[in-house]
Amino acid sequence: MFDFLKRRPAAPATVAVEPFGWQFEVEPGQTILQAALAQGLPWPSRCRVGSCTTCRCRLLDGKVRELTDTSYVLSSKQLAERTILACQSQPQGPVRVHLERVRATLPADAAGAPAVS
Amino acid sequence: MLKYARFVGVYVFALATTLGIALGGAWMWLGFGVIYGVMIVGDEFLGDDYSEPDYRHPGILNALLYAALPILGLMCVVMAWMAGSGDLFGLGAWVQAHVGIDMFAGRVATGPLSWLGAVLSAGISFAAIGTNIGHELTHRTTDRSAMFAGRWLLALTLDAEFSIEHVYGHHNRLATARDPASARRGEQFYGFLVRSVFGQTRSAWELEAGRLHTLGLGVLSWRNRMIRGWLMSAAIAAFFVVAAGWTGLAVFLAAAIYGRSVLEAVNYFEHYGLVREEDQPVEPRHSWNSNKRLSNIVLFNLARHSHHHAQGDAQFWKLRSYREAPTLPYGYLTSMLLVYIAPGWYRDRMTPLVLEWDERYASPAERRLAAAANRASGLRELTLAAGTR
Repeated sequence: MFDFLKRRPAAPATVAVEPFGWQFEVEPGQTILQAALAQGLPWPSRCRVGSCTTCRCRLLDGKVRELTDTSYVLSSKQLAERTILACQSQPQGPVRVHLERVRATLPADAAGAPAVS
Repeated sequence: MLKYARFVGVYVFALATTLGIALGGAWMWLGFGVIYGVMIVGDEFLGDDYSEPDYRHPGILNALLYAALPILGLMCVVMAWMAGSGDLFGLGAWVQAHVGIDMFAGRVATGPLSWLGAVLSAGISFAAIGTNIGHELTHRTTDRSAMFAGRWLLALTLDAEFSIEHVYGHHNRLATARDPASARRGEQFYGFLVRSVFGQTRSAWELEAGRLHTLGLGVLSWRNRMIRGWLMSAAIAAFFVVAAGWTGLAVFLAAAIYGRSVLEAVNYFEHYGLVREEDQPVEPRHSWNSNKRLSNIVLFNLARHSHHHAQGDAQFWKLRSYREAPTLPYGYLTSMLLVYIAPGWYRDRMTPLVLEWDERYASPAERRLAAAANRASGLRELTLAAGTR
């Protein structure tokens, strides 16, 4: 109860991504995906609210705070393998994850359609 | 302080609604009249607001969200009192002594036409306050207090399962043919209403059953959040029955159903006619946006919908204006009223905007989807546009 009163960690956390060897910082309150996209990394993503599972990765080391209930969208096998959704995970300290694949195509906005942001 | 205080706005409407119902008679229309009157005129004359202030005290904003629960609870008690015959909780005597309103006389002066006003006033309040704030809170899926308050607010419109379907269904399938809550080109509001309600209920059930299966639990268990949601609505209905018999039940259900239809009206115009490839990210262009000042004040920035769908976990005070995003022709309440009373006209009003969307916003692949949607729309203007491409 009253999660909104809890204090957030104040320091940025380092995320290491296997097998690509990427390393980047995630600010407190930021998700892994937000930080990765801000770095310009080709992390696959689509809905960004934890329902399409495009951004999923496996947590190898460390702890994350998950913002949504992933049992709606992941299988029991994936849950057992510690699959997390990058768009819904805020690292609590240094984290190492395994990402299966990178984004294959450029996002629609880079392919000619005007981006709105 | 005004940047915080502005969000009290919706509670002025709640106060007008509750006061009107307590006064009885024609006053029962007060909430409905004030909400539609102020919103429509206000959106027309107060213009747009692109400001994106920094909020350093989100606790205040959260308190404003949680206030919805007691405020709507009071509205329900007053409505049940007026529908009943005794003096429920001694409310009538207390109000007479301390506020100076004679609810007993008001009740006597209340006929069926007055009740229609009460139902419409309470229904729009259930939607604008209950569903809207329930939506904001139930996006915080791992915050138990937010989910508790949010799901009770949604239960007022018999729709606690919105907390499942919206986050895990709608946000995922938005603007594709598989989303029951995205209106297709050529679709009229009332047809959409039926398709959306049944489609979302079915989708919520499938999502919940899938989750229980994943966790190795039975579908028919107390852990089923959909069944629990129905029981929450049943508990509210039972309160009305105990307090005011079948009249009470009828009044609550009518307000709840009208409130739910208001949500569907909003669903209708928020993504009308927009298309997206299923495997492509949700972008701001996949929602109709509005920066109407009053709509955003009253609805806690819900009208800043392009950013909401591009980043669903952002709290309402972080939503940006995205003034370049596809924009609705009117504010939220105006759009809603038009969708109800002139569904065909509103749909046709959107035709040039949809065609402009194809030109200005769509990716090449989306243009192909749009052409197919135009041909399937059954609307002459859209079919013709598809033919020329």
